[in-house]
Amino acid sequence: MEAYMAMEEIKMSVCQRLLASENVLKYIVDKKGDIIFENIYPFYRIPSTISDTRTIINMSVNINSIQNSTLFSVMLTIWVICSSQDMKTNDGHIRTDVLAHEITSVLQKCKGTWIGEMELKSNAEGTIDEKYNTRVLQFLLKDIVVDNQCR
Amino acid sequence: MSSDWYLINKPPIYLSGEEYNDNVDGFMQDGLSELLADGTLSSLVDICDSNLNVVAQINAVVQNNLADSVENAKTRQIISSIGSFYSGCYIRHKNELYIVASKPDNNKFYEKAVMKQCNIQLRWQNRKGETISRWCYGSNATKYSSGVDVTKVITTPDLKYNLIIPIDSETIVLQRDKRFLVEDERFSENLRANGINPQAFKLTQTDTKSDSFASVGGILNLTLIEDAFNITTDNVALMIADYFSPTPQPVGNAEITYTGEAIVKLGLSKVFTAVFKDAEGNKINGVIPVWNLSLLPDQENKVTFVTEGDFITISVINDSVLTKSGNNQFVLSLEDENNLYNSELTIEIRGLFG
Repeated sequence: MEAYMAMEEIKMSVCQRLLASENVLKYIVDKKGDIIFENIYPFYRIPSTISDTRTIINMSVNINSIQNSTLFSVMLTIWVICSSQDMKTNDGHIRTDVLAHEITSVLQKCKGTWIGEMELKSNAEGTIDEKYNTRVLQFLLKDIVVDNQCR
Repeated sequence: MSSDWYLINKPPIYLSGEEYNDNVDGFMQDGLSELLADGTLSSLVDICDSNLNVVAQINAVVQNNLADSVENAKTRQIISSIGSFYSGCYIRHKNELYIVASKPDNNKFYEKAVMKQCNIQLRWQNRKGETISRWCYGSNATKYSSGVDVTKVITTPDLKYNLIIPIDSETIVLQRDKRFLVEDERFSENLRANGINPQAFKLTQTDTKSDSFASVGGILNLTLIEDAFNITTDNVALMIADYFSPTPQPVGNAEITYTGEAIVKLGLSKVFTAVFKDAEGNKINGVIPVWNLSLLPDQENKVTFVTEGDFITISVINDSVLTKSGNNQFVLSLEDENNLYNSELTIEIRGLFG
């Protein structure tokens, strides 16, 4: 597996697990539907202008360190972005906090091409601008095997 | 063949220079009245209050109809007799709505003001949940920018309007962060069919002072910035942001009951009872009455009361001054703690044998 394919697979794997989680979905949208590229973006910067109060998850995958020609580690960063109008959930939680918690719960159990579990390295609160609040999660995925034959 | 002609008044005779006011009285006011009433340039316009009720119809000359720039095309000048309009009133002219944006002033002959063509209708709910609607003139303060605010992660809309709106009891209480929905309602159906929501705006500035000079009316300057549309709280059908169900209005009434006539005699007392009823006329128990007496200065300390439960006992001292015309009535008002029900009763004071 080439490095870029490994990174794409990580993104797909993360998206699939988020979509499979009822708890994650209920804090993103009220109704079920196709939320990839509407609420969940498998990249860092959202390409469209957001003019409503939707909750957004976007992500970036970066090679953190290359151990040798066949192993490398990846840093997965997830942004949980919520409109400041919509921070309070119907069940009385703070949307960025509870969503970050649910995502962490889902991803920490996630197994893939990496060795072991995704390791949460940081969970930081912040703001995108005056209209959107965010919580940034960073996970370390260790020792992903790169198949040299595929290069 | 003689031509049609007439004389407004006798011509001025200039002798000493002190006849100026006579000439004004004799010619200028007549001439202006005639110009406004019959002149080709004059139009009949409606003066409207904040709720667009027509409070007067006047003849006025509306100038600057043929503008030489796009910006000027939204502005008119209105001329009429002195005292015809006020800052912040609406003027309906040729089926278009304008707002008087400047303080009207006069040169002793006629009154003039600048008015702007209304282009944005704001709707919101007051504290009781009643829907309030006001037309205003809005100008785009960001027309030369990109219209978006770009950050590293997300791009959000960036549109800012400066609005002028009449000052009244409903607009003066608008606070920062109040949200509004705005769109061209002629195309609402088309916009909804294409899945496009109204633009949402948030109030960020209320300037009550800059253009409010007059004792009557005045202009409130507002700044709105584009905000995110919230499908959960914004009511598209009513075009009201952050919609909430109005406070239930009472279906019933309050009554002040008493025996005999609504009269208290000098030196005596009389008991009045509060009764609150629902829409079917059934008595509502548990409503706490709030009484108030509106007394004239001569009645102060001479008309007293004591309340207990649903009852109020009103006593009048034996002072014949209280029976004289102009002093012999006062008003008893009743309401409940939440001011949902209210009633008033005019009570007469009579002499002991009256």
